[in-house]
Amino acid sequence: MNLLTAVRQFVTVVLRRLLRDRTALFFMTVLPVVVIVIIGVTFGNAGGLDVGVVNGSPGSPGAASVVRAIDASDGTRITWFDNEDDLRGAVRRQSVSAGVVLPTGFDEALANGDVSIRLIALPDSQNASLAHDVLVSAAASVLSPAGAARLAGEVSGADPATAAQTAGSLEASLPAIDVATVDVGREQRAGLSQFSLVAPQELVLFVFINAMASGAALVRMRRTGVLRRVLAGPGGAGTIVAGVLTAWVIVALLQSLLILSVGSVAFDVDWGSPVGAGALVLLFSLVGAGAGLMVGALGGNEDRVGAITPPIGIVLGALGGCMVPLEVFSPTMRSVAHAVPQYWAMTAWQRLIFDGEGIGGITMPLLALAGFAVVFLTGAVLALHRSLLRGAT
Amino acid sequence: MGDTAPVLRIDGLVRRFGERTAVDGVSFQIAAGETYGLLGPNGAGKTTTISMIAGILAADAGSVHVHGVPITTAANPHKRHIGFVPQQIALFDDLTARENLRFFGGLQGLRGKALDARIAATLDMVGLSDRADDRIDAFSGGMQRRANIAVGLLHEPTLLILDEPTAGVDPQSRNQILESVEQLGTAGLSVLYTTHYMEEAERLCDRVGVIDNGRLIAEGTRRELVTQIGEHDRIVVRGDDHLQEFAAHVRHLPGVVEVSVADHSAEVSADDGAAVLAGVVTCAVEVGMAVTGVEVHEPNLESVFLHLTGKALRDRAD
Repeated sequence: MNLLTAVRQFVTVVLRRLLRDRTALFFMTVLPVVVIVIIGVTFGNAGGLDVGVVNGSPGSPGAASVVRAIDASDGTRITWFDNEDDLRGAVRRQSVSAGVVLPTGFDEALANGDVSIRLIALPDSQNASLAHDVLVSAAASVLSPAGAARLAGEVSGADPATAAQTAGSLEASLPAIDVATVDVGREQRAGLSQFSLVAPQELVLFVFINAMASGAALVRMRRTGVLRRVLAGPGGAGTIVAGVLTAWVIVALLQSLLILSVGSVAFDVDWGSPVGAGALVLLFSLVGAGAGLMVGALGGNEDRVGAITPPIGIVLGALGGCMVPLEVFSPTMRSVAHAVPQYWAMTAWQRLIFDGEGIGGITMPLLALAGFAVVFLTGAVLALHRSLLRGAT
Repeated sequence: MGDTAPVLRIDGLVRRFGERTAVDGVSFQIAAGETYGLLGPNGAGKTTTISMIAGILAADAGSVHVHGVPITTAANPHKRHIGFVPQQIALFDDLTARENLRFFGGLQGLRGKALDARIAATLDMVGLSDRADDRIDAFSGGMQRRANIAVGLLHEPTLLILDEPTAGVDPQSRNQILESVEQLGTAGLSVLYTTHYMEEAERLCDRVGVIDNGRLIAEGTRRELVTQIGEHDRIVVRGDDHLQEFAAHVRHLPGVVEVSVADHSAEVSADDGAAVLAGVVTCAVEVGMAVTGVEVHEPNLESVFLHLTGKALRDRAD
């Protein structure tokens, strides 16, 4: 019997059994897509900043200037509210990212140097600091000339109008200091699908979870004596290991390809360099298959393996950036994340999708994943070989 | 066993699990077409022995040869001569019988029409042709056992190893399985059959090896084993008259070992009860004895096992 024939037999049987297992099929195909849709639709536009505004001084040129400056900030959108209560409610419901309340008598307060603009945001919101920065920047563009005019009036004794005119002419003649905000990856992000972050997150999360959970099927194959029976045939333990391993890798690859395809076709996700994405998918499938085989070779009870592996996969996925972007991790957590393969896979996907890198730009993550694959697969092969030959009493 | 080379020869097999020696120097041979029974209680070392013979468990010492070729756990095309039927239902229960056979047949190198033909023939042999496309988990226990056996027969091995194939099955399926094994033996297949059912070993096996605590403590045909322990067949002749005359006559028959007389019967001990039965009855008629009944008692393997080990082969509840 040649090895390829044996491998083909295993692959056929594993796929046939998978197609009959509706629960496994649901977790492999439907659930990842559903999660991508839900998270993508809910948080896919998180890159923008929706600012709700209550203008207490509708006719005020100064207030209008502040609003214009906010609106001009990159990625912000203005939503008008009639009163502060409505705005607070909208912030609480997160239908806007933050709120700005411009006071009544804005121009008078501006002339007196005593303007108070309130920012309304959820305390733990990531958008609060962003809205704060936008507001400070917008306000500065209006308040700085006014402050200069007020100072000129105090020093020279000129009337406010003359002082403002002088301040304005001086501002025009002074060399400009251009402070620009550089949006990293802006060029790549332009035109990206709102599912561009969540799709790779769910791909990495679910491929690994399913690969690990499929270890339960291997436990069952061991415990029913199917594998030992195969061992009594012409092929040795190596045939079994090669057959099972190939079948597991193919299942992981198929799931990856499904998510890649659905992501591209249904959600317009651009996965970046095909070569880089292909290498990444292949290596991560090897990592997942290795983890699943190791669990299947070491596990003594299929129910226990089936119950334990999904939570472990979720925890590892969360650690690796499959739940929230790696950027929001604390430095400590980011260091810890290096220990899980999901971190490297997500790093690579971000570079491919958001930074437009090719395979050369993800060399380090690929090497790290190759290392994980070697460790997991070696462990799996040794454990499976040992379990096959451990023998009966 | 004849002069032909044995299909299976094992020499001094030893297997230890930690401190415990599960198999301790077991040796025997099986000739072509012979059905050999490995008889012993649970935990005696039967499964460990056949696991080493099937090449799924490494031996600590000793050797296994099938048609003169050494068999180990390593890949070996010669393992194609072995059909292994484990005690467990080692099948994919979510696949059909045909799909299971296709998988295992493919691993044995069968393919295409040859595989299809063998699947059909094997399913027919075990009486599952009409359930070929049903899933294993829809089968009764007995049908699962038969499907399990079918996998072992699929690639037409010359040595079939059956590990307690009737364990836990209903009497009807059990009888069906035993009949199949009898037919296989008749068809010239060498069979190694492990069991703790004495009556199965007596019914099926040309020779029996008695194993206990990992050691093969006796081996031979049933008659040889009985003779080894000094047991004889007993013929009890019931009647009221001329018992002493009968005893005096019958004592001189060839093969008769001993004769004793009770109130209404005489008991004749012989090496082979069947062989002397006619002579015994003739003697009774000649002395004018009014015979009311004749019973032949043959010592069984249970007696052998009890004699050799001092314990019963299995619980009566079995």
